[in-house]
Amino acid sequence: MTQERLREGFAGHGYVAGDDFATALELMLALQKPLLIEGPAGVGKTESAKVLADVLETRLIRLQCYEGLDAASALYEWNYPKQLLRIRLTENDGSSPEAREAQIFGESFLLRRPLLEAIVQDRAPVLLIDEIDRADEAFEAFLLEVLGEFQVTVPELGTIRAKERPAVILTSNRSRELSDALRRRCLYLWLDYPPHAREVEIIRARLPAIDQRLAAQIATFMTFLRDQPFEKVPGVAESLDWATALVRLHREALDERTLEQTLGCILKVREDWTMLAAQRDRYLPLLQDAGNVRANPREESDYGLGSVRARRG
Amino acid sequence: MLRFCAYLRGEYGLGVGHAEAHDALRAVESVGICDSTRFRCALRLVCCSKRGDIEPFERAFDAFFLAPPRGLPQSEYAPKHSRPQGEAEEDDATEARRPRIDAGAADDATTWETLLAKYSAAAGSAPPPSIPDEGLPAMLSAASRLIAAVRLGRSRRWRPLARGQRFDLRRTLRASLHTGGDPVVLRRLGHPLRNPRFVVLIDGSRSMTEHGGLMLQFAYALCRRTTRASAFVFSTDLRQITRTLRSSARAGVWPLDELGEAWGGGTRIGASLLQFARRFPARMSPDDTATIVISDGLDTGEAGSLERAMREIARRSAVVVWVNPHASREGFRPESRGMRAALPYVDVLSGADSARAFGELLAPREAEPG
Repeated sequence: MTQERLREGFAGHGYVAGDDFATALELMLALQKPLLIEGPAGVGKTESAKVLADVLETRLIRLQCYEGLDAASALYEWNYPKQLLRIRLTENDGSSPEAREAQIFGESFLLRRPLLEAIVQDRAPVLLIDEIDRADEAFEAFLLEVLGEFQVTVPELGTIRAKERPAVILTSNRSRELSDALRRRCLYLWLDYPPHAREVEIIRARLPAIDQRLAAQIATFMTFLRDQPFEKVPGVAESLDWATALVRLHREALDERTLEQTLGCILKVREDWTMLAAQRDRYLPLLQDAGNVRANPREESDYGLGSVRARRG
Repeated sequence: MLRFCAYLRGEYGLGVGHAEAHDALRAVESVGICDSTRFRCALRLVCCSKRGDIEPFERAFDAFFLAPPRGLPQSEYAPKHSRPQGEAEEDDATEARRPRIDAGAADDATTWETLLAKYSAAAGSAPPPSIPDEGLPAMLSAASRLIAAVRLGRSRRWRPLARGQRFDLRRTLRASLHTGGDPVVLRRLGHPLRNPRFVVLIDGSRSMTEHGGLMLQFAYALCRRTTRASAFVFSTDLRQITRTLRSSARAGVWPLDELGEAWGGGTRIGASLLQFARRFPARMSPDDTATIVISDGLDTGEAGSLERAMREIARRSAVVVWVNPHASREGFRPESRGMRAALPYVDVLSGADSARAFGELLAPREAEPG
């Protein structure tokens, strides 16, 4: 699949893919190598896998990583209660131990987890290994065989090879350093916060009804916020949440009151709120640059749609 | 392409081997060479394996593929990605470097001139640092004791443990095949102890140079005893020295030009620690990381930056240790501005001044993660 078709497909699902990202997807599919996407939280790493599955019209299989994740949770597990029951039921049927062992370690007793599920599909799925940095090094080492050869060895059943290699996307928030061995098996993409123009494009792609000036204001303010030393810097996800909130509240432009009412959409840490309040002199001009927007609006209600406003009292 | 891969490997230290060269050829075959942007992007995807590789890759690409033809004046040629590494770092690390001396922050009485020379925030130079051979075996033993002594709670992972608290049905069933299906031997699962990670941040400013040998000896010993240790030095800049320490076959002198303004210069603790927290967040984890800051706390930088840095570091570490060489003196009180800002986020304040003291930095304790 070419870069242009991928970009069109993504655009059709409201995801604006840059040149680097589209090229990364193209090469991931052409070289059949996993793609490791690193970047700050909320820039669209996980969302990209979901959209890719829709574009390729295939299944999305997701493995959410966490500390303590092991092969039993990620690869396969035997259905122990069923095995115990079968052992008890066939205790006295006269079959040999080898026959009984072959029976209870058969496919019908195997519980497939995401990695094995992805390998046995007839049509290549999209396998999302989300937040791989939250898993520990032992799990990373275990992934090497799967990502290198796309095969899984089950001691009782033998080696299971992928019929169709899945398109694998790994995401990481860099909360922990990943091993070089894992990185070398992947194509690497750093997905950073988008520039102003692209963020406007992203907002308008997801919210076609939004006013263009408001979208530009949101992007400008988010660019300002990302330059601040916050504990949790807001990402594109927060931009979209905020834009959605403003549209639902029928706001056409940003002002200080609107910002105060909707700050929880973009800043999620109490200390960051305090830090922003201390920067009032710096962000106020950004709000006032919206033309007829006032920093301290008159008392008025927000009833009505669009530009219709009704004064109180 | 093979020459470019060798160029990346030899000149810029990127880990580009034969497999990456093969992938690069396949990638170029897929995207073609007519579009330079796509060509660059394709090679970047294959040859870079982490964010820190991107900047050197861009410089290498410009130098290799976009070098000006012979005969053109070189002085006017400025490759797009030829900026020095680290130039576009975060705001606190690029504060105005005007010398600011806070004489009241000094713990010991000295003349104004001495204070200016010792505590000026201006960058400077110093003789090459060295790790003393004397006492090195004792420090290596101390590092081993420290690693064994650290207890940072238990992992969430279930692993076979002889006296684990959970019954392991799978292994018990597997073992029962040898006894006719009867579970004679019971297997158990439990949470193993976390394998600790260490981050050592060494203040290499002029005021700390007299303690430099011991600090570097400790960092060297720790990096030699465990692969889960990282070491950094800072003064007016921050540099990682983990690889240098590990590759040193024996203690000795290594080139100062690797440290630059991270050794022997002024004292900007807050800006340097904030730079570490922002550039290397992956080195720390609130579950298993012991962060050790070795500094006298005499910060001459912006007031709030050290507090912000320590808050960030404490949030990302299981335990924070501050080693102040002056703390072992009689009558020491952590009253300097830097120490007051850092103390609320420090779990252990120590005046370790010997190998034995470093080995006892963290007595066996169950520290709550985060």
